[in-house]
Amino acid sequence: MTEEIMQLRKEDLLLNPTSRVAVALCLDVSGSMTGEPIAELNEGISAFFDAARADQLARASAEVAIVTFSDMPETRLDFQNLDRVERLPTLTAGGSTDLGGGVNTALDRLEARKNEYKQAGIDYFQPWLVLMTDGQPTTQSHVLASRKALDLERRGKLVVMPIGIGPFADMHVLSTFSKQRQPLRLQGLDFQKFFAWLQPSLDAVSKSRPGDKVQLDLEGIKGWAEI
Amino acid sequence: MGRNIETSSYWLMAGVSTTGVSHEKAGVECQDAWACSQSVEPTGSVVMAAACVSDGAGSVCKAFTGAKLTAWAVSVWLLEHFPSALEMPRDWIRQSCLSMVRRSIRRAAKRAGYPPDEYAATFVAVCAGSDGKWLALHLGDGGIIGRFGNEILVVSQPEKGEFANESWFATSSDALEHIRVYGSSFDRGLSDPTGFVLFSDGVEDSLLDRRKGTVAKAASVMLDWFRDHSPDKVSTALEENLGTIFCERSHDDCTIVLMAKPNERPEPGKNPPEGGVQSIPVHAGLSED
Repeated sequence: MTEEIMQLRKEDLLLNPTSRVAVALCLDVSGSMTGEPIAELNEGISAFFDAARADQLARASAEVAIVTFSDMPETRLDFQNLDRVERLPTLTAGGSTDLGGGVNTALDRLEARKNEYKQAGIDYFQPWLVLMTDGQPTTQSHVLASRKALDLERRGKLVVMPIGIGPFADMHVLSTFSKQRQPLRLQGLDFQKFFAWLQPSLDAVSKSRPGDKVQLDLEGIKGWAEI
Repeated sequence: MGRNIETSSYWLMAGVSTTGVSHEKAGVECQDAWACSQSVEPTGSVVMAAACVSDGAGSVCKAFTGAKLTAWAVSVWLLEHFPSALEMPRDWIRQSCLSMVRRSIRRAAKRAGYPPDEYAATFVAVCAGSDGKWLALHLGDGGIIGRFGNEILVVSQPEKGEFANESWFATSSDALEHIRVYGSSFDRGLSDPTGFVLFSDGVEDSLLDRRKGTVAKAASVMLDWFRDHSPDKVSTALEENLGTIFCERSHDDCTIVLMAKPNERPEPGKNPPEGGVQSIPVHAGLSED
């Protein structure tokens, strides 16, 4: 052992804010989600927040926003530290499917959050957009929204995860939002398995260091997606 | 006064790397490397010291070898070109040093049958003479803290891309544009350094306040260890502190190299080596696989 005088104390070091990873959950709450689908989705989100808050790294680094879309897009939960989320919104279903409006709102929020990080001097990772729908868009706004998402993805500024729910999800439309990840169809209504996969995936991002290529747990995807 | 001038020609150095928790768990070797070199003229009157810390990119298969090669090449370049490089334009310094690093990587890559990109690594490096001149080079993350008189300040901040897991490496196509050059003949014209702390990104958050640009007290505390202790003892203390207090705050590999000009003449056995150039890679061997 070295002499005590050569032992640094905690107060001799500095503490910087943890680098953040922002995730926008862009969720379809149109009329077709009524009943069991919306109930399972609420359960899945709740379990995801519980698991993330129980994880030391995720609690410090992950920030999640919930944007829903039906007749109109709506930000139901804005980005904030997980510890500050006192109450999760209870999502209810009804109305049409303005998928593009939802994506545009989610992308706007992600961009605004990145600017807030910059202004506060907080480092951040590539943000994620998780897009879930069980049907077809009822407006054409998804055309421009998908171009915007694709452009961000092409420039390495965004990770997009398009996910179909049930047999009527329009996988072709979902495929227009990402060239790097094909849309995956959820197994039944097992949102919990998806969110259980998402949380450690975000941990992997938070642990990544310069030069790392974050690899998604492809084996784990088989646990929730129809492949 | 005379005593101080005479004895201030000595630079003492100590350095340590520790494997991060995330690499230990994954069974991956430490991807940081460092090298220290000293040069003493036959008269013993001038001493220059060079140190480099390099961090291999996480996603490449030859990260550690790349870091070793980079640390070695940069410190050798510094010894060969210091102090004359201080009279040269910054662009020449960037080009010349990077060429040497890339040559070293290309040779190793060719022998081992890998693409040079698999040896991607960052670097932070300092060379300092006995006459108050100094030169520092920095590519990517990590950082350099310097002590000038009683003032301790950030010489070079980490440079990352937009995202926290992006940086620049010696093999990056745009590396040349991102090598930062500092020294006694540039910018602020600071001279007569009495200490430097070089570190990899695993230590950044403990030593630098990214928002305020301030330095942790630990930097001057560590440099002061040389006042009463040999470089060996300082290395041991560094290792213990990296393995405890620093690694509590980072899951990444951690490397610190200290360079200090003590106020008093070193005791026998503490003196830097004499007689030509001696390169002392303390942490890692220089085998190129």
